[in-house]
Amino acid sequence: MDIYLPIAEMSVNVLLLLGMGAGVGVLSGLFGVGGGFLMTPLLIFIGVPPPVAVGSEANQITAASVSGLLVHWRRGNVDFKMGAVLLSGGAGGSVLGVWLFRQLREMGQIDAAISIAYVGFLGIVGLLMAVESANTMRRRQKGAPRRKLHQHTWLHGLPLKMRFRKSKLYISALLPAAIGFAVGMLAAIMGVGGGFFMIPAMIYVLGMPTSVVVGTSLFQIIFVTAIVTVLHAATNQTVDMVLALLLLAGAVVGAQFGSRLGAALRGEQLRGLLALLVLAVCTKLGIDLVVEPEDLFSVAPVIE
Amino acid sequence: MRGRALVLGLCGILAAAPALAQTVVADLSSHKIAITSGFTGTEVLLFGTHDGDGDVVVVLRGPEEAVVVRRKARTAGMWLNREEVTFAAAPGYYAVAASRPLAEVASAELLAEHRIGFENVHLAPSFEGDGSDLDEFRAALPRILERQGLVRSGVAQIGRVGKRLFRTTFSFPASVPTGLFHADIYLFEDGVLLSKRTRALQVSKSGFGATMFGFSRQQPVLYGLLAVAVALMAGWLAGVVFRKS
Repeated sequence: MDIYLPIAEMSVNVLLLLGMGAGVGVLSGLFGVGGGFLMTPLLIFIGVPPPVAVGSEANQITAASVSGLLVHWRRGNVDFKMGAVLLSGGAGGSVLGVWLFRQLREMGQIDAAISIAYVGFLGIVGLLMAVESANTMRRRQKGAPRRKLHQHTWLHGLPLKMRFRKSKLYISALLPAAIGFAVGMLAAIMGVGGGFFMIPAMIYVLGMPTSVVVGTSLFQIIFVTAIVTVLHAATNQTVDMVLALLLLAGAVVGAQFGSRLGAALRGEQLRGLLALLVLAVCTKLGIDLVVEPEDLFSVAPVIE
Repeated sequence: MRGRALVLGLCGILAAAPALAQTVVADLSSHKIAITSGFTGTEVLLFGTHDGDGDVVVVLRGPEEAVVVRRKARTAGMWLNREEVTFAAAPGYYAVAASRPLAEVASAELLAEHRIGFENVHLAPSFEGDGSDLDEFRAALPRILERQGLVRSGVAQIGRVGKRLFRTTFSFPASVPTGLFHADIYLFEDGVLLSKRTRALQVSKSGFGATMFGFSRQQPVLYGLLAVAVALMAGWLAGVVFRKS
């Protein structure tokens, strides 16, 4: 059963899209991640033009994050003040990211830029997660002492200090704004929510308590991906709503199974598995960049 | 000298006179391709007949579009796009069918004049460099479009039913560009063009997908806001459904 995607201008099997949504949904339920960093490369692998993959995936992430945010909101696990500061940076980052995206697209370098961004980020994050989970597993065996909750560095001494009650922090607002800015750029260029970057940054750089990290990051992700969606629609016309909704339909079902499955596995094992997955996607994209393509030439419509 | 030329000219006219009466008539099985949400590509049959003997050549051309052809080169270990050539008038679709090999039907000059064969299409390249490079870019365009099913580089054989009825089919992939297509039907005899007919084929998006596409191009900001609103609704709905179960 094929469906013609109106913006991607291609015909794709509906079951393939639902299956991809479900597969990534299982993983996101299992690992508690958004899954954009897996879905965007998968879309590119099946032949969706990379700009459409990025724009539509941003749209999908907005939808996929709503129910999660509502759950955390009800439990009071959202630091709205922190979220607003993150978002102020995120809005700026997404504007710059979409502008950069447009420039790279006109230069014919956007496909390569997306791949390079993925290889870089997935490589670093995958390695860090692999090392972290290996260390935890080793520590579990040895029973080594736990380290401090968070350390204070020069970063916490920057001006524009603000009090974040929910996060029990009194830090410079520049720090979360800068993190938000980076995440906004990632969302615009890579079609990801950016949780894989933001959550470690919130814990290790800002020193936020883990209880409010996920809810607050979801709050920021919804708004940033919404901004990115509108900006991509306005400047690149690369948001395919039909594609986004089909992926969402698969993902919400998949996530239910994933979260049940996740309850049966240990945290560091999960992180180890996720690290392997991230490194596999990174390797595939990396190989595609360095292996000589069959045809060196490519054709693209002129962007006016 | 002058008298001889006149005689020759008269002979030419006399010889051509009965031939000019020879015509070709043809039509397409469909004049409209609607790209609906279930569209996976389609085929269109072209059929016709002609007087007397002769060779039939059919060219189906899609709407012209400006495209850029890029060539990758190894850069810092990666294969990145480097040089590019813009073709201002690349056909979005191009296919030729003939009853005999083109070289036997008409002279190269006549084929070029009527732009029969992809090598005779005027692509209007923008290029500042040496010509050998341009040829590589020119050759890449039909090669890549052929992989996408949008160009048929070889000449398809026109099928005959009896002596004067002919038929041939053209296939279109799901990624067929929208716009006005033209099927030009030529009747040649002994290397002379006797008759030409043109039939139009309109390819357009239709139904829900067409509405979405049009909206996304005409009101891009509103489309983006709608996409976000739909996403928020769908996400909320999904949360409600799975909270109860």
